[in-house]
Amino acid sequence: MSLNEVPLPDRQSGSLSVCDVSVQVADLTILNHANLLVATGEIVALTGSSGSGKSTLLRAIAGLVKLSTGTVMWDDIALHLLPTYQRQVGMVFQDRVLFGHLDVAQNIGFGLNYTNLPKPLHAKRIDELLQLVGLSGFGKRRVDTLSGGEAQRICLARALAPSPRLLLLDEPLSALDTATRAQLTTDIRSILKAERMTAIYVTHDLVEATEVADRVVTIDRVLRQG
Amino acid sequence: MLFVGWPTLRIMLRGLNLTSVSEVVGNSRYWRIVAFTIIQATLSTVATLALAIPTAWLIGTRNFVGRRLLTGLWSATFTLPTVVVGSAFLAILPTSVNRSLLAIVSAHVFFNVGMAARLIGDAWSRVTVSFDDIAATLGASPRAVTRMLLAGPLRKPLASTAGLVMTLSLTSFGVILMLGGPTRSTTETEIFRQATQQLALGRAAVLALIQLLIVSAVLAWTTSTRSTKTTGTAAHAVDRRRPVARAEQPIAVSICTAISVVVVLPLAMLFMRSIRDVDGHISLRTYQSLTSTRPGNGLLNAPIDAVATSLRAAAMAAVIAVVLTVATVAGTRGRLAAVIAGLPLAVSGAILGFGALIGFARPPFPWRSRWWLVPIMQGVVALPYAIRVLRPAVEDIDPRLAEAAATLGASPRSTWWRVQAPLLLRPFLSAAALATTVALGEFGVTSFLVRPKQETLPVAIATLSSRPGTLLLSQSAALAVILGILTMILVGLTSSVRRDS
Repeated sequence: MSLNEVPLPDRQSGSLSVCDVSVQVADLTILNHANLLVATGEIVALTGSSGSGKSTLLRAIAGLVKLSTGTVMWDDIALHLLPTYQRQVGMVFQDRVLFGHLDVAQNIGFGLNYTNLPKPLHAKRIDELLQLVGLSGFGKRRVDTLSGGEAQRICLARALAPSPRLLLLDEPLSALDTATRAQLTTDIRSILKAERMTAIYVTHDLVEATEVADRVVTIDRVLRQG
Repeated sequence: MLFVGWPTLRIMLRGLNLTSVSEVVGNSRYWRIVAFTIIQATLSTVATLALAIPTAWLIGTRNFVGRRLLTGLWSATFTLPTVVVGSAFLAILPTSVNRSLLAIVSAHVFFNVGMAARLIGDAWSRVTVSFDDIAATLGASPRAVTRMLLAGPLRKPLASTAGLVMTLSLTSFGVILMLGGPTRSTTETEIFRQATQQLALGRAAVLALIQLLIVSAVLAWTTSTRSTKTTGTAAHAVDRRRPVARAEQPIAVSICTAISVVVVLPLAMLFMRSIRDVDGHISLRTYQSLTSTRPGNGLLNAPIDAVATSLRAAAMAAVIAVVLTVATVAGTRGRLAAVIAGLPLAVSGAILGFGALIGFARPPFPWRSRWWLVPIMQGVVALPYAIRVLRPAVEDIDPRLAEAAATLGASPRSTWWRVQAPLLLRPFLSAAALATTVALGEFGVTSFLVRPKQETLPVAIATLSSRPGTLLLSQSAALAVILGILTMILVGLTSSVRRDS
């Protein structure tokens, strides 16, 4: 089956603009007046030292932390005013966060329940994504039988399934061994490009950043775009 | 909170009455009862620890065939209803001592020794590796190391366990009522007599306040001794128990035999009494006699009817407890859940039962004669236990799962049903089974509130055993065996569900 034979859930094209975003926890400023623009279909890598606020920026865009200042816009849609589940922003977490009570196919199909994709097409979309991440035939596997690299591929497929307007990847390879990282670095770029996904990829590894992304942005308290 | 707060408030209002206070304070009989309450609890604690400490050494630091099985068996007594324990000791002790301090202390040791050994043993298993090795390499003998451990890193776990045993001995209403008889009253059994036989509610309320003060003082002390860290803790996941050395074998066998006798003998004797008819022959006649009514036994129904009544009430209580638990735990009221989880130690069943007796007697809550009050109050008693099972399970759920679900488009409600609820299914079943177990054996609240023809198993057991006659005593033992078996089935169910999860 060729990719995208199954119609994708509705996706609104557009670009992301993060303006003057700050995040404060108690008296501590974790992110200070960050700005970022990401165009449709662009993959941007965010790099920076530990504690610079890379992951916090992703969580702010996803709505998982509260903004103390600033806006997060998708064209003219104010994402920062929407709860996480209405933002259509997918996320791949640093540690492999899979639903242990569901099998691989059910994990990937989880987000499809909240899209307009008709139910009969869910299985096809899941198969398509399994093929895309190189794990065809893994649908019935229990998630606790997967290796680290396999689990992270499933996380990626699950995040891609509902065809979010934007995908956020928070150091998705940091917990993997060197060989798996090298393989997945190449694969992730081709998977994201195959899905025509707009994405922000957080990593502290500059080589990985340049291999995955179209553009690399360094964050160092005040976000600098390169 | 209505079913705990209002009864407690009514006790306070009723007890803070000058006439009632002076009646109690001015009568030396009540002071003797308070003194006996404290003395029996202190002796029970000392005797329990005397047996529990060597047992804790064995199960905490040594590995031997059957260790898990024996530990489980010894701890299982703790889950038995107090009236089953009372019945077992009525069966084992000679008539001359079965209404004595010795009987009460023995029953408390039986009830608590496994639990105490397990708590101390767990703490011992975490400290022994580093201390044993370090001390031994510095030239200390095993005895010196043990002394050092008990005075050092094990001091707080020991004190905490002692406080827990003391609290349980202060509030073991069922055991005291059955084994103390009319002459050996503790504060709780005296409250029961004052309230239900002499109808002196004011005096009972003053005694209830005194009991609350005593238990609160012990709990406050226990809490102050509870350690959050154990010095010299070894890695939790690694079991570094050593095999029993040849020289240690006699002492290990002695400990295993002694504890097994303490635990098994009363239950075996209880069973034997239940299958011995009035002529002393082994038969099932006692069990057959449970199906018929008998004038003068204190029950209006056939004794066996108490089984159905108990199961019905316990099932309702479990539903109430679990629904309330989910409502408490699923919300963001973690602190409230923590407070409720600590309630059964502070406000015992007997105190709660007495509070309900006076609190729900007239408007604004005239519910005392309503059939549903017993299951509700049993549910309230079971609630903290259900919370103790479900709360850690809820807290263990990785918060990132909810975050992942949200980024996939799931609303908070959808996330609860599709992600969190399936993960909580087994702990939920476990909490339900535990709540049923607690409600089934509940005696304190029920004894104050039970209506004629609605006697639960524990009430029927206590009623039959309090009347003269070999048959009634055998019937009481037979009902205790049935209750014990039902409890063990539910405990097994709870453990297997928890183990699988």
